[in-house]
Amino acid sequence: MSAIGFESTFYARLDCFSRSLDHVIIALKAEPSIATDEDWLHTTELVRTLAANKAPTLAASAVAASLTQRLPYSEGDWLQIVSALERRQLNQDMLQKLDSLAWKLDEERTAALARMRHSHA
Amino acid sequence: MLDSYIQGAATQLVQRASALKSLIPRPPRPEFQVLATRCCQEIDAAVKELKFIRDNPIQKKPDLASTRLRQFRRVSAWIDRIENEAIAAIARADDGESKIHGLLFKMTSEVDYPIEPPTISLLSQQYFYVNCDFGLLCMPLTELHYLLHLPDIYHELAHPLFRNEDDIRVRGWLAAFTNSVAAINEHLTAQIIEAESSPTPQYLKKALLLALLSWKRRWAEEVFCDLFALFSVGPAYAWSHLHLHARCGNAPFLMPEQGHTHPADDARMTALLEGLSLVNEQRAAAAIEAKWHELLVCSGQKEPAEFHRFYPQAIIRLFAEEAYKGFTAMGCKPWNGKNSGQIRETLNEAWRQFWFDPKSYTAWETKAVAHLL
Repeated sequence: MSAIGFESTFYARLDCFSRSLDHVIIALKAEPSIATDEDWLHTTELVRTLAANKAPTLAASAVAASLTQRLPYSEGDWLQIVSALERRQLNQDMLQKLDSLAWKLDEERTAALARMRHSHA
Repeated sequence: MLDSYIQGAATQLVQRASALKSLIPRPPRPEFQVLATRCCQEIDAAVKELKFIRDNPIQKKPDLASTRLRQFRRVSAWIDRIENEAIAAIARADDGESKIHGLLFKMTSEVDYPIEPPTISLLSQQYFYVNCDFGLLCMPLTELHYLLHLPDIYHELAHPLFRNEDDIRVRGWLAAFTNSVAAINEHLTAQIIEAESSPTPQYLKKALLLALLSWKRRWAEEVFCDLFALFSVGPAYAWSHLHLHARCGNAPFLMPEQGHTHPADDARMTALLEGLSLVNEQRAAAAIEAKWHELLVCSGQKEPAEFHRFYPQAIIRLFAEEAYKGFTAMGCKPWNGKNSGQIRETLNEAWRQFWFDPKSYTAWETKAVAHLL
């Protein structure tokens, strides 16, 4: 049985969170109009899942489970970022953490693609 | 550096993406028209995004170099995927695809499959798989001439049901899935807490955590796809699972630390046997279980001491019960013995013939396939 059935949906979920997070980072650093409300919502949903180990959606649950243990931040760190995202006001330290998260999502997306290409029964 | 790189690489990618459209046959075969339209839309969107990444002044700010590179990588990978996964399938299609599309239509009709069936291609070099990003189910080139593995198509049909959480047609299925994930989460979390507060070996603590993450991330979906297939086509799917294990020999008692994409084959078989009792196939379940144990003995496999901790029987039973509720909540028609339709009945008859007279099975199969296609 190939893993592509699972991985292709997982890839799309990573892609969706990754895209939204990049838009949010651009919005915070340079141009607020780049991020839509949906981008803010997706990003907050992912960070909230990392903070609370409870997911409002299957997508956030699967993606957060792949990132757990791979990011050097505590649940408390993520919780602070959730409140800041809700206010749409993040300090430099929080932005750095979001940037690390964005790179982890990118690494995981690349890894998912490699698993799809080398998938075996 | 980055700006010059993006100027050159994005320009080339725009050209390459645009050229992909010319690889689509004119007109595409009828069964590939939906996929062809989707590819063209995706190519247009990717080109637009590439131009935005390349030309928009905001993107050129040094402070945004990281986001610009990530965006470029994403679009670049997506264009590769359109080419290698979707356009390749459209370009190589022949009469075999027309036959298998007819078969897939009958399969999905018999089950009352709740969403649009995927396009099907004989492109696969990796057994059966479904690519949910393109709604494309792939199978090996000659597999349509053989019946014993065709039940695996039903497993692949289940993956797209997880794709859209807002689709009302799959709500019951996803609710059942969420309940099951919550149950395994609760069970393994309790075990992890207990392990932390007692003299438990470090490897076991780590394995419990890995099991929890694997269940939440992917195993639960694979077990639900197995159960969807089982409720669709009955014993034939469990036989097909045994067949695949006998041929490929994945370790049946794979432990979490071995990090596999699918749960252990023995745990999957347990779920299937539980599922068979829900469609009144206890006798078939007993026959399959007996042969499964013979196979494990034959290959010298024994259940490791801690195996049950990662695959608790009670939770696996709950998965089967929840999946059955979800299956029927979507309005799908479960396997119902000899009143299940031509395709489902033939796939089960194939396994009956196989065990009844293994030597003459191939001759029987050749006639049955000719009748089916």
